[in-house]
Amino acid sequence: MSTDLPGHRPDDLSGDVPGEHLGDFVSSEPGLQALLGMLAADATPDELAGEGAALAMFRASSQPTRPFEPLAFGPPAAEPRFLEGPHTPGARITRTGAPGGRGPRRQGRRVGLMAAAVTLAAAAGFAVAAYTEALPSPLQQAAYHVLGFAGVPAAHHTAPNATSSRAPGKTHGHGPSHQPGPSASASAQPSSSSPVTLTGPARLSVTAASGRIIAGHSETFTAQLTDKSGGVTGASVNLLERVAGQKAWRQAGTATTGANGTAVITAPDVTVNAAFRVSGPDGTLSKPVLVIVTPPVSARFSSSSAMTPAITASSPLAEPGNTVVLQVLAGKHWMNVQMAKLNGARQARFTVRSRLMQRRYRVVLLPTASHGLSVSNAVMVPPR
Amino acid sequence: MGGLLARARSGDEAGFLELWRALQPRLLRYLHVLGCDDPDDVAGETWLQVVRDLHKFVGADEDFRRWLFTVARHRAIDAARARMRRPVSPMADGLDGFADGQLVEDEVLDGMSVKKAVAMLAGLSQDQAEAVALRVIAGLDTPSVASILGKSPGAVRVALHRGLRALAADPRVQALAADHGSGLPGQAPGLVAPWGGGLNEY
Repeated sequence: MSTDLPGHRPDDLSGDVPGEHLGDFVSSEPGLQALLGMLAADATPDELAGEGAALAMFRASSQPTRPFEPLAFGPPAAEPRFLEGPHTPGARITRTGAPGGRGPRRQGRRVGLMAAAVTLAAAAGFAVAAYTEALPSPLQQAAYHVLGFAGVPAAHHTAPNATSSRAPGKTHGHGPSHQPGPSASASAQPSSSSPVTLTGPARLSVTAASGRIIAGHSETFTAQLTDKSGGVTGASVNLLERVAGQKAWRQAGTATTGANGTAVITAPDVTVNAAFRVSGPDGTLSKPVLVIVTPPVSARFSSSSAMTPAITASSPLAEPGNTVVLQVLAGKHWMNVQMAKLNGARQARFTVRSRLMQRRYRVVLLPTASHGLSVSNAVMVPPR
Repeated sequence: MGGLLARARSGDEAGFLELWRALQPRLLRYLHVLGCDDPDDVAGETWLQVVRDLHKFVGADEDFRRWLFTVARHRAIDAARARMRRPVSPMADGLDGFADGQLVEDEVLDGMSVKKAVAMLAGLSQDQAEAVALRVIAGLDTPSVASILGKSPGAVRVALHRGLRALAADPRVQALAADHGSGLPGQAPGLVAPWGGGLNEY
């Protein structure tokens, strides 16, 4: 490496391998130099696209808590120098409201937070956006931490242009009681905060009954909320979904946990791949589960004296432009024959030739981000 | 402690934004190298945690950068574990050719860019890719990289050495020399100031 670089700078690769200066090596490789330059190039506009959200998150998550630090987190001197060490993969910074943290001190903090949050929200209009879940995902999460006790949805919001994976207004929650899910319009209603008190660290999980469904069918999710004492009953949980191609989470349903802390929520008419997760009280959030949707695809053989024999593929719930592949059964294996795009009517036509023996064909709809792979019925092309 | 970090800790929005602008691109690139499905989401989770606990942080610039990338790595691991539990939709037999064709097309259309450079780095073995990414993209020194990866500094140096050698031997990287040949200064911009030059000031 050139001697004009300060020896202590992280970019100085000198001495990385005993007896060899990698900096010199890099300098002798113009291609590598160029590559490393690209890796460390200035930001692209895409990379800074989240600036507004980051700033709002900073405002929401940082400023309101500062006046109440002693109440919320205890003596700063007790904190380690590094909050999350490399040798403690599971380590987390002590969460606000850690086990045993409830009681007068927590309540006092909540009162303080409420005052700070209301002041902030009034000034910035932040709360309005949070209530309507019109904030980017991290910001909505921050809003929940600050305003969750006042009814702001736990996390992962609805973007103004977000689309639903299903027809509007068709989400159902089941359990001891439930609220119908919000309509699929852009603005979800704020969910009410749960009155339950959690003891110790809480865990929220969700499982999908199938994980792979036919487009237009329903998927059932089972959420379970547990804390130190076991299943938490009577807690409000929100089903959140993120449709393929969207970065935003939207509320898709609400239910209340019953015995053993479980709640069942059904999302009917799911037509697009989507990830689902569940949020609960005190910021609990499950890991997401993915639901793959397979649009039905059908194949139909048509032939007459006036037209060339053809197989028509049709997939009403796919998108125009999706790719379909015609396959023929050769021995025990399906072989690709032709490929086409669905037209505006979600159909594609493959011309085929009748041969000496009848042949069996089928059509495969290739997967996209919006749906999984789907296979049609088999059709027989008679011998000529 | 540098100015930007102190300003951010004191609640100064402009200071935080400068800090974010300096580090967010590096964070996203690092997460790409780790193979995150949704680097934006993981980066958002990372900043959320960092901002939430910023007032508890004690340390200097290098410590902050190490903390930020440590948190990012943990969030990325969480995301990867979640992804492993998701059902996978395999391609049917005989259809792989179409998928390959799409990838080739993407490669042709993309051209060389930051995105592609990151993808090339991600093509190294994981330990080499992470070592190079944390050194060059994150701008951390070898002990810090070793600390994050839970390895010895010697192991990191070896991984870094092998990674850079492998990259240099890649024909696509060698082609870059021809593309950039006469335009390159004596030092690659990334080696002079991998983090854009402004980060040392915070």
